[in-house]
Amino acid sequence: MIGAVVVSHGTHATGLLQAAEVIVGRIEGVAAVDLSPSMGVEEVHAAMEAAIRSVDKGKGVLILTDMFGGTPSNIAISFLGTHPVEVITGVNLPMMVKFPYARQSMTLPELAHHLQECGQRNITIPGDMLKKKSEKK
Amino acid sequence: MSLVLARIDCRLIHGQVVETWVPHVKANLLIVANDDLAANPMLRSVMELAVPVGIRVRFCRLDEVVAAIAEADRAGDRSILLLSNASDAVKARRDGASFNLLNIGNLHFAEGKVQISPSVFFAPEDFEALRWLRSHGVSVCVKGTPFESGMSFEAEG
Repeated sequence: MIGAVVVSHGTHATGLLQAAEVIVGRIEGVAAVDLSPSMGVEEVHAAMEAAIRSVDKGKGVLILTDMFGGTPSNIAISFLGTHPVEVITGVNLPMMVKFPYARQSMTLPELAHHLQECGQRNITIPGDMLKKKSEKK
Repeated sequence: MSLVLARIDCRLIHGQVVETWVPHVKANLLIVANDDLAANPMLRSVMELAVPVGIRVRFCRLDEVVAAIAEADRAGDRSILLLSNASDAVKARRDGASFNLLNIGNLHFAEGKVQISPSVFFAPEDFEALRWLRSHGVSVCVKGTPFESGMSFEAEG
């Protein structure tokens, strides 16, 4: 089973995981790492490494970070090549909700690409979608 | 048998249904039997937006449920029947809707209701409906997602 680590600023990572579990039920093999302003880089690095180890069951770990260029991403990227991880940035709830099903049938790189596509597709302007629909009619 | 799940859910189509039950029972059709929605194209359009590509939705009035299920049967669809409350489930069953297992996922809280699970609250008339369903061969299972153990009320007699 592919594991996952969600990393974000404040308590967003824990909250995002909780929100996903409200929708799909308990998600096994996922750890949330919350960054507080008081944490140093080494501390964040250590927390993420411990989280990766706790969810690594041999199929690799997907690290989902809040924002490309932010500290969680920057530190996550430092694990590429040294740990069996893939990093995906800009995590949102649709990606978290898709994760438990998608990982059952995919390799780690496939999963990362699938969630990227899913996360992007789910950023929508419903008003525009409704307008398009009524134009078709 | 084309009806793979019958569910009471006051939210009808939403994340839990689309993300967990649809893949779990491998459904390709959602039959939403609800008189309010059947009469409101705007609400239907909004709800349809939440449905992923490859899954169809059929909205119908409550008195059309049996016909909608029969049609899905003929087409070889694997369908999920969604009803918004217990009295609608009784009505559908009384009309001849062919389910012997009924899932209750969400029935929201209101004053005077009894909590059954984190997301299910029963009013006195819900207990009444549950009794009727169980005495007519329907087992009822309260759970939000397929992976919870849930709480079962077996059919009687």
